[in-house]
Amino acid sequence: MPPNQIQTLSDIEVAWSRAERESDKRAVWRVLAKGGWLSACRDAVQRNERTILKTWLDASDSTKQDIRQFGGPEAAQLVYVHMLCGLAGCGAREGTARELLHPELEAIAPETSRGFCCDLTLALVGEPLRKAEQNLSLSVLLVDTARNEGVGATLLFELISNGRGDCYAVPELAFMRDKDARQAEENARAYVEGIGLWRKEWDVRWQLHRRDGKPLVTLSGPSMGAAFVLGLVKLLV
Amino acid sequence: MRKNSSDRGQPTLQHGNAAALAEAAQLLRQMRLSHDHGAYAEGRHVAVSIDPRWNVDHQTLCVLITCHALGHVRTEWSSLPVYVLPEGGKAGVRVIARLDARGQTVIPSLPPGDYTLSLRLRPLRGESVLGAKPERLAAQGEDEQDERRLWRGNSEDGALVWTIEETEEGDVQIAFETCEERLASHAVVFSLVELNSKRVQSSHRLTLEPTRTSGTWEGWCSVGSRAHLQGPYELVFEVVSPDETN
Repeated sequence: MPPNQIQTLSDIEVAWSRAERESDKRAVWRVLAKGGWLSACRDAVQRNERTILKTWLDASDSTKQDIRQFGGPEAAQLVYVHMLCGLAGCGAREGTARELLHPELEAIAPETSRGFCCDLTLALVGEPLRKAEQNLSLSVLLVDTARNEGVGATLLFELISNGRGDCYAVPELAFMRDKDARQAEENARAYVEGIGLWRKEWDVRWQLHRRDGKPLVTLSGPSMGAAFVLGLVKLLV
Repeated sequence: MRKNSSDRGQPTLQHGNAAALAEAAQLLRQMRLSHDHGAYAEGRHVAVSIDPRWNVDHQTLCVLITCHALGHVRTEWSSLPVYVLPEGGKAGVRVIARLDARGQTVIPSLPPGDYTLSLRLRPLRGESVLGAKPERLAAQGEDEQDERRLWRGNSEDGALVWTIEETEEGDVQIAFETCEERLASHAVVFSLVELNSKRVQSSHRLTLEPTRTSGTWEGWCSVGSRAHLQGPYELVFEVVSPDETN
């Protein structure tokens, strides 16, 4: 199975078992980061595969642990969050009103945005994300390093009520920023908080789309920081 | 009887080869290459000549390096690399040119300047990598790009496998992997060398470190953007012990 055809949790294990070399595993992980985890968890929720989702949380399953942890500790936490939200999604589909926030989540990923978890659960269930009260879009220029050319993109910020002061990306972008990009995002949020504009009772969700319709690749480097400050300030003033 | 006489001759041949190679390495270390003049040196076993000539563009030099064994010593020159580096460790063009079986190599396009030379006594095998991208039709969709762009191979003894991959982001990554415990913590020194000019485009040293998979060691890194690594290149590498500075 080509790695790009990963759609289910069992596809992930098949692709992993066929990855003979470390470079093959990195290639599988790149596919997982670019939507593979989201697709596989969404499929599991649609099929109500609670048991399978739970096995991915089981620390004694060494293969699944290897896969989870291959991308580093932060990515491993994010995979864990996906599985927990998948379980919450199964509960939501059954109408059992399962709590989204789990003690396990607090223990494993305490800094994960609750707003993100809520939107991730909705995305896995196949429902629209939380409704935005206001939004603001900015034009930004990305550098397509594969072609060494600039690419126009739209950066969209959405203000969401009943929040906890979180700033987070849509689920599709969860794995697709490197450390510098995430730090730039956090720095921008901290700056806006420092000048007194941040609102603790609101969340800000953001997303990014290339204007040419092509899929995004990993966002790397801190260059989005200025656009983040500008966008957040304009959204919150 | 014939077998015995052949066995007796072998050490002499190997000894003569080793002595000639060692002497060639020593002579090359002492020689300098400059756009002003060539160089010639002769020892007990070998003669080495460096013959630079201006190309027709009068901007670059074509340099012929010849190592010639004196007498009847059969010398295994093939694939031994000659390193040509800017004198004094300055920045500039670096070249790795491998000798042919006759002990010769040509550097077709070297900028003027002063260079030092050195000969490594371990043969380097070259693998052609990062060739031109295949033509794509304009109507092809983005999905068709999902196929991985890989170049793969093994070291001559099969102990080390290497992979060069161009990722979707346009990043070029290289990995060396081994299951041989004796190579744990060893370093792999590799270069990407332009096929025609023999100029070194990129050069790195990676340590083989344990992976999450038991019994496997790997060193990998990004060597830059594909946009800046047009290729094709020759990949040359060697494994060196942790304390060896190659």
